[in-house]
Amino acid sequence: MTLNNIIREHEILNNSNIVDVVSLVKKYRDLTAVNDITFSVNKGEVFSLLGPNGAGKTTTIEILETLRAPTSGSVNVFGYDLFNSKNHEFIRNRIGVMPQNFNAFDWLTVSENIDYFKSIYRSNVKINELISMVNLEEKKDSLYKNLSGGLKQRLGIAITLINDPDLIFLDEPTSGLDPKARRDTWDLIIKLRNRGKSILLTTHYMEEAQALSDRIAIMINGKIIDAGTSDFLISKYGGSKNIAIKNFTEDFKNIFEKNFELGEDNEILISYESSDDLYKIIKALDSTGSINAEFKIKTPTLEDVFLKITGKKISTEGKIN
Amino acid sequence: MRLNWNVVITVFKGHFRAWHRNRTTLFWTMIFPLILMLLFGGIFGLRNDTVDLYIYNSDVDDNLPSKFSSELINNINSSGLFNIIEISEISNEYDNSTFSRLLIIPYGFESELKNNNAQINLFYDPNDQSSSITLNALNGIVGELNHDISNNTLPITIEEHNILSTELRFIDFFLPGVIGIAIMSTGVFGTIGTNTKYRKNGVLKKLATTPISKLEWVIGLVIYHAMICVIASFIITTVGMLVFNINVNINIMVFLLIFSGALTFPGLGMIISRIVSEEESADAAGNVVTFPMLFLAGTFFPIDTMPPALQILAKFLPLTYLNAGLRNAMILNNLNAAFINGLIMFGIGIAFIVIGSKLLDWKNE
Repeated sequence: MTLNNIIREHEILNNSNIVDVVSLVKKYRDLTAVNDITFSVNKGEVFSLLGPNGAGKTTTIEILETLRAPTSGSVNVFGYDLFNSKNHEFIRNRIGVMPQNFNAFDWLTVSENIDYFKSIYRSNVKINELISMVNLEEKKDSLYKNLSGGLKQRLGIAITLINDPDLIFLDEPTSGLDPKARRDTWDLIIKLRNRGKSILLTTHYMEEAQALSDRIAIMINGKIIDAGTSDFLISKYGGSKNIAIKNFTEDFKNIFEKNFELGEDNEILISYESSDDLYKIIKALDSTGSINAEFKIKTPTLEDVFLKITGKKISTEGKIN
Repeated sequence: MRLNWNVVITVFKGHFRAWHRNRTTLFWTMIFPLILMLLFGGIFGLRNDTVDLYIYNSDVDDNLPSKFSSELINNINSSGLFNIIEISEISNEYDNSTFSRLLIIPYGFESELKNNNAQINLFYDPNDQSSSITLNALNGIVGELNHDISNNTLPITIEEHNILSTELRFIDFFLPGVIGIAIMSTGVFGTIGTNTKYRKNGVLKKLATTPISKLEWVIGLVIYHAMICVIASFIITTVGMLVFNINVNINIMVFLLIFSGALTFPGLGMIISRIVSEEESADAAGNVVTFPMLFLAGTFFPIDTMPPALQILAKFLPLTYLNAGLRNAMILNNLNAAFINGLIMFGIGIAFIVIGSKLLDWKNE
């Protein structure tokens, strides 16, 4: 390791912001794909760009991955300016990237695929340890083309880790996976976060962003609408919590008069702020003889936040409707 | 820029493993050219059992051949082994002749026969696979004639002369063409397939975020193609020698030409896959480029038999120089001509691979 590299290493370890983006703009002729966005990724956190297809998420992380040149603004990764292409080689050695819909080499085995990328980085990471980390021991001699979608994604993540990166970019890592494979991938991402890796994730799945992210930036039409923890976004945009009640008596309904909304299947939705409010509602059910009443608590989610901000929902395919 | 040869070898090994594990690729790169050679070689090479024999009869008086020279020609003809082609003029220079087998009946043959001292001259190329058949058959025919004329003496003798013939059988002509086809299709379609698939699967994008340089990737690709081309050429040549008894010369020019092909056609594949990025459309575009080249570049028949306009067009096709070079190096043993072809191919190869690499903008794929 050269002195220069040691100094850089030290700077990375002591820099709390792994990524700093200020007023970033990316234009393609008349199209502005990324429009004046500002955000940062802290060391050791999972930061998600959440938004529908075409929001500019992939363009943004491809700029950070050194794949695309920014048009204007300021972009620093590990404190190094991305506008200066001399910094790119250093950055590439310290990041791990899993592109959207990434598929490795079909006719190479699991361990050969990892070995392929290992030799590119001259990495000292042990292949067997990586295989074990992503639970692919039994498949290490299987050809990539014979793996299921979930296993392919696990291998993709293993390949991403081959250079022991400080910053990991995962572009729509669970897109197109079945629920089981998606959960497995989530577990793997949580494992990486617990190992102190900084992760920049793009997704159009609300529950994914909510389950994995320390902070989330909601991105639409090239702009970041707002960013923060999921609790912050929900409390800011998601509205109050609701209790949905069925099979109640008329007396119970009269108590709340017009302080409820009608829900599906003859249920009513009553909003509440605190646990005291919730207790009062349950008590009222008891006092009005609603002994057959059924109820469930409905807490607002990021989906409600997105609906509130845009008036629209994101489909499972990532389209906005 | 520093080259990391470990990375180059990794790229080569990755392609090579994928190639030998994929039966479809193996079929198109190895088996298909063999089928082509066996099929066309069988149809055009083994369709008749007779051997062309050129005869120049100069034992003529007043435009009438002598009785015994005519009888000799009739006996050769009635053997059914030869397709007799009588010629009326002959050059004194027989080396580089277009005749593989030439029999000259000299003036005074009949009169010398009366002295039991007639001689006929057989010019043949000992490298020609039918030379031993020709010699044995003519010895037999002349022996019978000698027996009819005299029981004790050998009035007619055959004087043998070795020549270097440029006459080619179809299969001699075709073998270098088959190798050319294999090199072209492996390079063009292999690269189109790789580039479009790796682009679609995000592999190129992934590689662009790693320390690998485009140069290392391209060099690994070229070495892989060169290796495949050498293996394909070896198999095609071996089968050609065993099945069709082709005399093949292996020399440094053959390797120069194969290497140049491994630069040219992957380069062409890169250019095509950049212009037409979709997998299916890129394959179709590859066919548009390679199919006419197959027929116009002297693979199946000599370029000088084509109309003048197409001959000019052929001069602009890289496969023309590969086919001609391989033919000169492997079959005709004309290394000077092969060197010129090799040099042209190498120049085209460098140009194509540089343009192809420049167009392989994997960052923005």
